[in-house]
Amino acid sequence: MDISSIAQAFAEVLHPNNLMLLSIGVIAGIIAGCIPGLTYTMAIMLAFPFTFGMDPISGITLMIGIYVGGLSGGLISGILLGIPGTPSSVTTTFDGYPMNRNGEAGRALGLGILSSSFGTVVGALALFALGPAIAGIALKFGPWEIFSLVLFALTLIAGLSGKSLSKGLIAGCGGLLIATIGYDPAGQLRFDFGMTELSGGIASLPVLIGLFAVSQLFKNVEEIRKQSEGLSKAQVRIPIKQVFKDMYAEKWNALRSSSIGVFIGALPAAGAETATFISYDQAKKFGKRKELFGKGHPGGIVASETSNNAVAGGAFIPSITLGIPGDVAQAVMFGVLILHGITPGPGLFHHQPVLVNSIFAAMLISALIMLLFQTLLLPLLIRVSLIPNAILVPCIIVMSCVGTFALNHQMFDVWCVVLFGLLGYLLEKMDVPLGPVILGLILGPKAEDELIKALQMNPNVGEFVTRPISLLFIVLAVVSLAYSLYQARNDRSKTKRGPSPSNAA
Amino acid sequence: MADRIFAIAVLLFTAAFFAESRSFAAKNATQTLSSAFFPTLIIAVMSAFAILVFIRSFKRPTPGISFSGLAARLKEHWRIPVLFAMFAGYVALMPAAGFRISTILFLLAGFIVLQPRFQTKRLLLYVPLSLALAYGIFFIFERQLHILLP
Repeated sequence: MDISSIAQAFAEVLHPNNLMLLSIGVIAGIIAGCIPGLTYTMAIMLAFPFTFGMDPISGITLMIGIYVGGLSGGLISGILLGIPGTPSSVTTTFDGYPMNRNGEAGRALGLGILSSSFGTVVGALALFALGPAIAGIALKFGPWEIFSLVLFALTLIAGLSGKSLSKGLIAGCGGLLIATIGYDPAGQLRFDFGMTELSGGIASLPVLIGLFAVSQLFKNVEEIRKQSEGLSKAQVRIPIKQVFKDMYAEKWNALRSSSIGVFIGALPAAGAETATFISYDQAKKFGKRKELFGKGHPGGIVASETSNNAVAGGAFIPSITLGIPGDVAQAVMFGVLILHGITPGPGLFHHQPVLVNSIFAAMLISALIMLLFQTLLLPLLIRVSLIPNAILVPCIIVMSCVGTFALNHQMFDVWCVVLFGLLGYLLEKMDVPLGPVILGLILGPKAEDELIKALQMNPNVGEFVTRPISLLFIVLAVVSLAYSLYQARNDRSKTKRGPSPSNAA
Repeated sequence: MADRIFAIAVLLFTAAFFAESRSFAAKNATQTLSSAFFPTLIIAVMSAFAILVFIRSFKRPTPGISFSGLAARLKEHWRIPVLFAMFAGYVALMPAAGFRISTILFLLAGFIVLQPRFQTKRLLLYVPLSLALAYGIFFIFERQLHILLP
């Protein structure tokens, strides 16, 4: 461990110019993350041209600020409006929004912000201390292991199904089926129904915004007359002591979820959403008062946000150590380095130690900046809840349309928001959970791609169970499904028996 | 009743996808799995669960609302179908009228329709707010971020 290069890296990042760039990046990332339709990936791509005239450390510092801020920003709209700002903040809404509805908006936001910072710090430390080791394990992941991991993640559909397992599985399969629209890995066009717009498939962002954002907005419209009561002063206060108490109570959850985030982030193409869903499911399985998950359990927010932000540290591991960017955001960030003639890869640690350490330093400092800015903005953010729905709903619909259009410049995507919004609203009325749809939509293509790759490399299906890591994930998938079925059966018999005499008293 | 309608809708959905999948080309020499394999597997699982939900809707009927109850609910929550229609109209109008005009009209109509009780004096807020938001968003996205809007 070269102390001098670490010290030099911190000195570079703490230079007033770079500190300002980092702060601007974090704020821009938070704004992009909290507006449904805009994503940190988009913000990073928009910021990329501005880095042309910067040195590598300045450029990468700005990008990291946007990345870290963007991963966290989704919690703001998720908690205040029930609308996930980014795909990876879907699970934050499961408990964050109910807490807001219960009058605990300050507590939920405070906990989310603290969890985001915690996750970022853990991710940064993991990158610094364990980067090469984790990269070594990640290299052992072939298509069999990634398929089995995705299969395990898909079994979470059972855990997200709530009261009706059958409806949840139907919803998950619906998401998987929608994901097959467009060209398959072999180049065959599927399910276009004669429409050229469908040849490109249906992007996950319009579906996410339609199902979660638009349907939630229309549910808010149902309660428009009740909203004139407004929030009380107590509800807009931030209970700092309570937030820290909650965080301490969920410390093992936070550590476990951060570890999951780091590990899954280190797997190229696994995605932050996979990490958040797995972390949420594990928090539900291991947490106390499981019945409160989905109704306002602080553990749900902690699991989601720590995992979400820990992915940032994990995602840099294959990028820096192996030169393999895990997603578009990583690829753009490393474009900054390639512009300056620096090639990410195994030699980067030796040839550019200050640069590598500056990535770690930028992540640590951005966690503090994010904590500071979001905490300062919190009293203002909570007041968003005071804006009447009569004004808020049309504004969010417009912003969602703009963000969706900005994705591919196609009106078709905006029409998808309308149609999936209507579908989401109707599905909720029929008690069909929406989480499984988005899980199927995001994970479906990965599952099919990796399955085909694995079978092309070796047509023997037995390879999935003879490879130890793949077998481990298949066993975990079976256990996860069995546990969810057992829990569902338990809940049904408890409902039939009714409350026990001691509870009734 | 809702479960039955849901199950039938799902079965119709899977039938349409299954019919479409019959037109896919057969597996060629380079493919391990045909293009129809994965979707057909999903369709089979989805249809099986839809049939299960359909059967259960008779064995374990869930409390629902009658059609007259549905009409009463629609009357109470009239804003929802109206807002959906306005949303669809906004998206249809955008390519023809442009982002600014369609957004101003949608925002103004939305504010008026959604207010709990109609008050004329609120127009003094809604009109400038619609104009400011439409032009503000246009300025930020098109002029500053160079993201072209319709």
